[in-house]
Amino acid sequence: MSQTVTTREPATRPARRRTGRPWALIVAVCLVFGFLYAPIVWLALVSFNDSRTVSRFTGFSTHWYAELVQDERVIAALGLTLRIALSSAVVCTIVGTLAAFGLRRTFRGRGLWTVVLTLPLVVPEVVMGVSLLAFFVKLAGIPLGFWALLAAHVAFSLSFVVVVVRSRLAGMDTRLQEAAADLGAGPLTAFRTVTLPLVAPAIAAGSAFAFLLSFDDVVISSYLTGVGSTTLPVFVYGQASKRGVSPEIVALSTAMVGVSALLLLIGVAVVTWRARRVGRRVDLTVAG
Amino acid sequence: MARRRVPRWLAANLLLLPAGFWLAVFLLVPLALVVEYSFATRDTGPLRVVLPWTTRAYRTALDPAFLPIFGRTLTYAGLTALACLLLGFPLAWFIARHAGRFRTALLAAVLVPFWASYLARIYAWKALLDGEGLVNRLLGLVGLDRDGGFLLTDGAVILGLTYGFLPFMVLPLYVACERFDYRLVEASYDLGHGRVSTFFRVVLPGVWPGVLAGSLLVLVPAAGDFVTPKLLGGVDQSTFGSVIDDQFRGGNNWPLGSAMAVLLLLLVVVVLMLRGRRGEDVL
Amino acid sequence: MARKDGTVRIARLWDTDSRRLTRRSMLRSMAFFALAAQGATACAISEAPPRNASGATNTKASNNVAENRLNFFNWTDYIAKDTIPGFEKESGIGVTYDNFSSNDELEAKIATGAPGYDLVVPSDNFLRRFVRTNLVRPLDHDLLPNLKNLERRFREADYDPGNRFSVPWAWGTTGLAYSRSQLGTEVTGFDAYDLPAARGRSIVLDEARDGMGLGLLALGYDPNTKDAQQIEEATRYLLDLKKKIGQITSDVVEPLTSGQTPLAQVYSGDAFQAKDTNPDLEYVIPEEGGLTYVDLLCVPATAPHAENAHRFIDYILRPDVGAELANTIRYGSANTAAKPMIDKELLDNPMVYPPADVLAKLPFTKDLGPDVEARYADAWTKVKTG
Repeated sequence: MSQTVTTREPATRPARRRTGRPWALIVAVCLVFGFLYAPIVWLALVSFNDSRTVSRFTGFSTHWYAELVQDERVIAALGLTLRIALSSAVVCTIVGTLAAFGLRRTFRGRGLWTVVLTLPLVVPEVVMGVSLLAFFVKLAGIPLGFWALLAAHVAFSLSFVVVVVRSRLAGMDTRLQEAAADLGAGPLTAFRTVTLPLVAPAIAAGSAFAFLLSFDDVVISSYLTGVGSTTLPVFVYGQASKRGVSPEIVALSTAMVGVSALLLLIGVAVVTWRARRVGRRVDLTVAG
Repeated sequence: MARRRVPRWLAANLLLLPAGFWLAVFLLVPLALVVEYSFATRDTGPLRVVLPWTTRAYRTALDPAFLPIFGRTLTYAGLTALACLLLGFPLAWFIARHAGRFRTALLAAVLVPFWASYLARIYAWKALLDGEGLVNRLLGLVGLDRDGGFLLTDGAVILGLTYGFLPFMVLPLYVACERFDYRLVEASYDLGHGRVSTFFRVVLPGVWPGVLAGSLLVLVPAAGDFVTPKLLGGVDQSTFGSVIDDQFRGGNNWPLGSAMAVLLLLLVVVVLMLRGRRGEDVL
Repeated sequence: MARKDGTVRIARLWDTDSRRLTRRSMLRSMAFFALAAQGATACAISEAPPRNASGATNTKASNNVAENRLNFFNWTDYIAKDTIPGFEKESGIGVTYDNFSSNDELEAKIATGAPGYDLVVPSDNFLRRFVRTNLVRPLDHDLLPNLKNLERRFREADYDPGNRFSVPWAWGTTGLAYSRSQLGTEVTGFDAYDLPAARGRSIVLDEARDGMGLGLLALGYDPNTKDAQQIEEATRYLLDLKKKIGQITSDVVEPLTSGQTPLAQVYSGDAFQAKDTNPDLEYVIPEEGGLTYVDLLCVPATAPHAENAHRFIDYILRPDVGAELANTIRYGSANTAAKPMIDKELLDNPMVYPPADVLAKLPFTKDLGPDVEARYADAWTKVKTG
């Protein structure tokens, strides 16, 4: 902990001295966040719309939220989607990270492995959907539903984890591990204390991708949902095909963004509060 | 040393085994079915291969009439990747270098909008980009509005794709920027290089693995995404992905759809094989 | 079995009605699987596994699994609130109700046989394919005493004469929806696509037969034509029309509701959904004509609870249940006995129940055989990609 602080400090301080606050950068960042949240703000607005359209605001009402909380099918679909997305993220993270480490150094066959691990990015969704459907039902005898969806989601998300983790490992200083080994750490200890913390951001990013991909997938999932196991995106698409996107779904979207944003703000508050406490303690030790 | 006991190739293959197993079972075997479909006769349908074997689907797939569509697909994907890079880099750099203890929070904030349903987000963009929409009205204030709005244009498609794939650029870039040793920039300045020169000679090479990874994760899926062009684009928005999709849906032509998919996969395999050692550590 | 033999059979497949031939000529299992299992000689032809739909003559429906369950796969928002609870209460059968969003998805699912659905609702154009490939089982008319309630037009329809495989769930027409205030005029035919207010913003449906139908009708041809020349002309007409319209898409409800598009080719049911929110909209059958579509209840060949499915079909054919369904979804009902209980306002709406002279201009889409259907599909691909 203290080590990271000492290495980082001298790096940033002179930078600030030279350039001051990076105003141009801050403006750019605000614009990008504006881009990311503009449609969300719009969704939040129309979720309180009194008419069925999500494109024009005609008047205020909360009845879409009221309908949402009563709609068991949406809630059930959401539950299934979350379970699959979480499971897929866990499996992808473990399997993908292992694979990325496997590809770290050259060996015979690395090129072939790379090709295989890149393929899922390229296979068109509908092709993956129908071929997996055929595979599960005819060849493997795996019933459609949770497990089939999980297997498919892992298959198409795995590459994302591998690519991100590999990009972090690329050119990573192997001397750190050697130093750890020289200091008497076993390979596992060296991995846990040196390598893992260094790749942790990439692993986190990879699992976020796996979650996101699974959570949003429609085309492939629509072929693999079984009796009584509809995921949320598939449900939403089905509804949209007859009546356009239902404001109920917009209300759900708003609620989910709202809740996660709230959790995020709480997190920020906690971090700030902790940092203040730590800061005070540091002041004390310095004074003492 | 104890570590050397396991030969490198064996260790690597062991680490790759779970992923290899998973993809072999849930990707390669199903893809074999697609190869089979691609040589079947028309009226092949789900789980029903009609004989005799023929290569007609491949001959149709290689028809030069599909070239403009291929070109459009690459344009959409390329511009999307570029836009993601231009938007994502400042963001990733800022979070990695200046956000301090709020890094995680800001990264999470990039992902939060994606809790909203994809279709809802696209419909929101439709509403914003429409002739009566907010974007057009705001641009109208400075005289840049466009009659009928920006919906149903190629610009709208690229905007929608950029929106959807931005996180796939930002996160890898962040991962690269976070590791980047800022002292190199200091050194470059000290050696008398300007900002531009420092960016291209020091920063970009330093974060290159992240740029490559992000571009790959945006470019390839964006090339395959056909729902976004369908919803935001105008009449001429057929992409390679949508043509393949059409061949399967409506049951139009499974062999052709399969053949196109197989050709696409072959193309990527060839590119990967030919790419040489450059960037081999990443892709 | 000789490979050549199979090839010949396939070539003959479409000239005959024989279901046995059809089934035999299809290689149902994956060939490489067959290769592994049976050796290379058997690769060309393999017999379909004898499923429980054991031939066309035996229509006796019974449950393969003795359970009080029914797995129903339908379009979204396409049912009355009390339809399922009413059935469950009366029959003691528990219903699992799932939704699909496209006929293709439905086809892929039931083709595998595994999902275990007992009752599905494809559109008429897909029913024909389902029948061709033995995906649905013949209905057991002994279990459907209420079949007599059907309107004659739907008992003799050419997608399924005599209701051997299907019973209509609801029907509608393909026509034009438009915003009166935006176009500033009444729309009577396809020339509305030329109106300046529609330019660059109007929609044509992304469905091969409906889209091509528009071209054929606009040129004064039969939308079920087999004439290659006419199809070619329609393709050229549509390629020309493409320069004037905004999108080729099946996503029409929201654009119409919000006013993003002033003119769209639509299914009548979708038009009414949109009109609910946006009263400015009108639906019209173009003077050149249109098409009738029907969504049909049918029982997959692999249904585990076929008998329960029949009980549900008979239940929906009852006048009171049929009327409630029609009043909720506001599509056309094929149930004559239910008519007295259907809202007067709906019955009098010529857009839901067009008068006889208009109906004459609204044929069903006919099955034109694989060669002509392929020609339509290719022409449509050309329109979309050209």
